[in-house]
Amino acid sequence: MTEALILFSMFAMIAIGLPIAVSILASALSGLWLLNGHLGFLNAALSIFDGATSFPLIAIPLFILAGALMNTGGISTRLIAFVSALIGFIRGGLAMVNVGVSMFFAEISGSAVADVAATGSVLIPAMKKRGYNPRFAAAITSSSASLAIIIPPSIPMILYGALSDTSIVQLFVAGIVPGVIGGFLLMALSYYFAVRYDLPREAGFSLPRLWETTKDAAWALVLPVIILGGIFGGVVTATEGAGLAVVTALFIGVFIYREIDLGRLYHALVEGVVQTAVVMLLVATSAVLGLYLTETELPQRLAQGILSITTNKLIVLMIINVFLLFLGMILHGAAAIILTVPIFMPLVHQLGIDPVQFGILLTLNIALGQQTPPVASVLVTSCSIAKTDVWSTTKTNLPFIAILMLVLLLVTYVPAVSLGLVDAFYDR
Amino acid sequence: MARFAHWLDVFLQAVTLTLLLALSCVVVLGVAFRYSGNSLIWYDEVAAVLLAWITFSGAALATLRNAHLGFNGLLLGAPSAVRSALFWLGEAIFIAVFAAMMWAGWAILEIFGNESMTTLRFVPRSFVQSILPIGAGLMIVGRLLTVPDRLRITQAGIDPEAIEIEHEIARAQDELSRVRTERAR
Repeated sequence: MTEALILFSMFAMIAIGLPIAVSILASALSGLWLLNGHLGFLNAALSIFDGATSFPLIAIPLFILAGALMNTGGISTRLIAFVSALIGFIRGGLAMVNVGVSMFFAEISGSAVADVAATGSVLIPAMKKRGYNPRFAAAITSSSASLAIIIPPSIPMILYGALSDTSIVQLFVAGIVPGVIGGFLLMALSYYFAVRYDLPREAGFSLPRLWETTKDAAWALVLPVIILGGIFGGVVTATEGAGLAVVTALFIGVFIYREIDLGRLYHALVEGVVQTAVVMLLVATSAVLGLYLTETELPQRLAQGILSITTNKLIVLMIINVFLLFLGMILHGAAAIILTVPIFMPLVHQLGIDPVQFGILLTLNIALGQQTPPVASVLVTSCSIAKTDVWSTTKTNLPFIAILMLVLLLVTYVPAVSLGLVDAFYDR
Repeated sequence: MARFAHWLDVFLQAVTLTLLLALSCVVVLGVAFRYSGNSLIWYDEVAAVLLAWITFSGAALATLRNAHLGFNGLLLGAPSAVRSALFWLGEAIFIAVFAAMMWAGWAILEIFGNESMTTLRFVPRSFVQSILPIGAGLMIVGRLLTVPDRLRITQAGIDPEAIEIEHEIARAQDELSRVRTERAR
């Protein structure tokens, strides 16, 4: 009963506008104080510091730093030009380009809002100018940007991997197939709408133009190949891969593109470090909550409770999906991962669900959460650029949300979709 | 007060960016030395400690910039008087929580006594962990300094997330026009 009150007080504090990290810490401290008096506070101080020293999470600020270095070199416009030359000739070309760019521009800066602002500012006005419905432009930009978080490198995956002690490299590999399937399905649906509403093609396919834009974007395209190749090939760990990304991005920005503007880079770095701290404070406070949950054995009791109702893996996964879908409507991605991992992992292990598969399922739910108002930062950003209303855009977005759900169902019920590549390359 | 907040912001920017650059150098050096066959024994521990320092100093900067993740939908939907009451309740909880962390963070420094880092024996553990009470204290200061601004936007019914989104879009559009101008030259 006390545990339920503690968790309820946490959601009540979130509801009155307190930062989520502070709400987590306040409720965990109250619980620990009730259990152990002032010694509970001392344990909390040790836990919160330990929570912030997780080695795999070092990849987060480093990927953010690499992203900031690449962004100040005008990477988004180069990638858009390249993808336009590659697939812009198809009917509804700009919608295709939108999905294609998101797949290359996977959520790297640490802020989904910053990423969608960077690509959406170019593509949404261009789509409106070419006669696309602004709600359609906002919807496809938003959905494809969210899908990008299951394509590596992905900060939510790093978070999940570190919190659940799951291989981040295997999570990265597991995200590739669902990401590509989702990307192609979004493109296919865009094509259907393009034919139905007679949306325009961009300039016809031209090999010389493709060659020019490929040359211009080559280094931007090579960067993920070097980093992911290094990580997947086992040459470097995910954290070291992130370090490699920083060095490569610096080299490309200073010696190849020569477009690094120090003033802008400084501001991008400050915002990147703030993003890192926001996520890391959540991680650190969740360690205190984890301490309280461990002492009360609440996750184990929850697991037993659910298992006493059903031991059917498929039904339990459906219950978890519905819960996460609801949580995604009211919580931001990082907070949803941090709150659910310590609670659900005992259940996941007891049911024999593969933690890598569960990580992809969780990340896809985060992507869906970014599309479901009232808390849907990516959708709200797209709507602000397109100057459309969030709720009416959500109606237009429903078919795209359905695609994301379809990918989620595939990942949930066909383990090979996420685990096929992992099993092929890793001896587990 | 605005002047103090500005200088605290500048100070925290300098601290966090220095730590971030130090962390990047440590990771790159760690990889380079490992491949040269002379692994640095202190690499993992120092990198993890730097991340903790970035976390707590950066969290203070995020407090000063009102950047911590939250959900304001229900608060903003409440009547004005309720909104004000909940605002002050939230402030009291925030300050109480970090005052407790400051006290506990300080108390454990004494418990560590003469302990040092495992790989760098000359660095006292109490120094490493001191960032927790300092960070908690700075978060309280940052929260108090931003009370007038936050109270104003709460009373006006403005969602801080909407401000962040506007800021990001303005930044992206500014960047875009800069790139286009440079390409046009």
